[in-house]
Amino acid sequence: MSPTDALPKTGVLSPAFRYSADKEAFGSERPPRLRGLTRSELRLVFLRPRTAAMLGFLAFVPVMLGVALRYFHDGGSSGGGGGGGSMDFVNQVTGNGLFLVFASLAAALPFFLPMTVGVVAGDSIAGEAHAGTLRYLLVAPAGRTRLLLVKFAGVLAFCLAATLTVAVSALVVGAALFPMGDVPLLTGDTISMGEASWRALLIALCVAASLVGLAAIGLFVSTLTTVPVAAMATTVGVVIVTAILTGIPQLSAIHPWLFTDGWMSFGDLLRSPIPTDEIIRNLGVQTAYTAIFGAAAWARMTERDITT
Amino acid sequence: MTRTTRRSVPWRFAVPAAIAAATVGAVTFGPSAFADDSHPGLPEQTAEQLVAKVAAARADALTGTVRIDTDLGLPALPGKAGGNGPQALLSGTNKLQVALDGPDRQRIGIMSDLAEYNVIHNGRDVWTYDSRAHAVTHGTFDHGRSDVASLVPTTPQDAARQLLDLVGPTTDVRVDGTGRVAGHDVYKLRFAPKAQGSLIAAATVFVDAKTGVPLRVTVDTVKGGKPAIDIGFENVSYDKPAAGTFDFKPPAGARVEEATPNEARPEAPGTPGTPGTPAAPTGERAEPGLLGEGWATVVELPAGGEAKDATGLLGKLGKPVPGGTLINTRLLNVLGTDSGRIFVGAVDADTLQRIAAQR
Repeated sequence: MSPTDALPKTGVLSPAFRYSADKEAFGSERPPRLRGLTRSELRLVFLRPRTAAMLGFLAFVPVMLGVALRYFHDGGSSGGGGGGGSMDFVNQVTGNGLFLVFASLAAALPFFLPMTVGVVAGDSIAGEAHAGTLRYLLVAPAGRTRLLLVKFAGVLAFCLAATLTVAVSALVVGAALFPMGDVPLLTGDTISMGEASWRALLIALCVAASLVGLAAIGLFVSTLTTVPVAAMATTVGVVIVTAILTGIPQLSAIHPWLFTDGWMSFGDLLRSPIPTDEIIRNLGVQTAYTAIFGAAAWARMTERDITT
Repeated sequence: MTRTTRRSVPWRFAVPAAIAAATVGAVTFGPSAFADDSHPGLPEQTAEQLVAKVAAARADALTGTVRIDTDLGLPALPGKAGGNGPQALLSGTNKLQVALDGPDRQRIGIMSDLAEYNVIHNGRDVWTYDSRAHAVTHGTFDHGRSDVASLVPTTPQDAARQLLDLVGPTTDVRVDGTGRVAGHDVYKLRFAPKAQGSLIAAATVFVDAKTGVPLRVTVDTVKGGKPAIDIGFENVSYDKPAAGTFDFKPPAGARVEEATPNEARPEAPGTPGTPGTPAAPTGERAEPGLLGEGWATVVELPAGGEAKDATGLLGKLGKPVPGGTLINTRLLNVLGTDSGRIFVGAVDADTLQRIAAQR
């Protein structure tokens, strides 16, 4: 199980291995602590230039929306009930900058956010395998299940970071371009800025949680291959296929089973009183997808011959 | 670089498979608040007793979520995705938040993704708020016609009330067992037309065994399949709605339109919330003509603006029949005659044509 004689000299190790090798694994029978592994995994995910580029791109989404609405929106044109395809919350954003947070999340959730999560999740295991570092990671007595958990934690952290990036950027842009003040809800009631900020935070968490199911799918796909690009493309492909399925009304029978079905439930947090059914259902769907694909990833990970 | 050894699928993959199977099973066969298949044992009641109970039921205060499934068999209309407001109730599944407090205060919110359409009736004031357009309309009701609830059959109570009007020699009423709706034990009260010619096979009212409040109404068509209309509470509470629920102030930045009393009425859905009032609301402004009676009631839409639009639509969707154009749905037939008149009814094509010819 632990062929410690196969330890490499230096150079090819991922930070996760380097951490465990330096601090704990050597000279001790105790497996490295989960927290230390997680910390180094987070470093691996977030110190990548690619991650910075994706977060920067996500931060740019609210800027585009804000500028478009501030300078190119002729008020009232979409007042007639909103034709299909028009952006949500258009009429509210111009009156209240905080709505740019909701509008940006609504705009980023169907595609931009899943795309970046697909990249990170698809890369998680396959990237290590491709770089030839996966077997060294497993040489350290960390265990495959543990490694999988740490990798998943890294992806989840990215889901949260990506969502918060959009939200914070939108808040800054919204405050800069539009007036701020009391916030009208979808039901027509008005709540104070303070309460609206709480709801905005809850909405961001809700959006981040909506991505968890996809993260698990990506993690599973990532265990199937040693080519990271294939895993990323497959995961993003899953999002696209799901979006197409959602668009076919004749398939409405399967829609409740798709992981994207409850994504827009975060809008319920903008009603009064807040109906919790859909939000809870969405969290349940995400949990189910995580359990199924997480278990599949575990089955694949613990079974496969790791030669790279 | 990679060397893979082929072998049979390992036992570990049974774990995700088992989780998937368990989840699907639990969701498919587990309890659902909306369609609970249990049959609680309740004391026997005759149909007459139940009808009296429904008629006497007083739900002075109530809050809850209503789900409306409408399947009229209409072709999917383009632009439906942008639909907001009462028109959305014409097809698919919609959810509404409902709050009632006495006859003078009602609030209904039709929820859609990231948007909501609210109708608030408080005393003489009627407000509507469309969040997508960020627009408010305001109107006041004249006294004597202030019962907004009867105009918008969006709750099971409204639907049931209209069914009760049908009780009489034309209707067969009987108790059809028990069930559960939104966690409440209910009796099923079944209304069926005695005469041939209606497209409605039966309508079932699910009556709360304790309070007599109708919690769900389904309308089955003679063509079978799932109900054409299924309107019921997903959750319901008889507590008084929170204070301030009915105090509506237009939100900042919203476009506010003052409407004349007639237009203040929320544009009611063209859906017949129930049999007996097929498609009544849309044309009510100019008093549509009612022909026939009971289940075979046919409405003649008044000529003029709306009817003219409808004639154009008829030409596109309908099929030609002797003397006009017919649109056939599961629940309704619409006949546009060559003379430009429009008849709507929950009756089969022959009956509709016969009644139209008598005019």
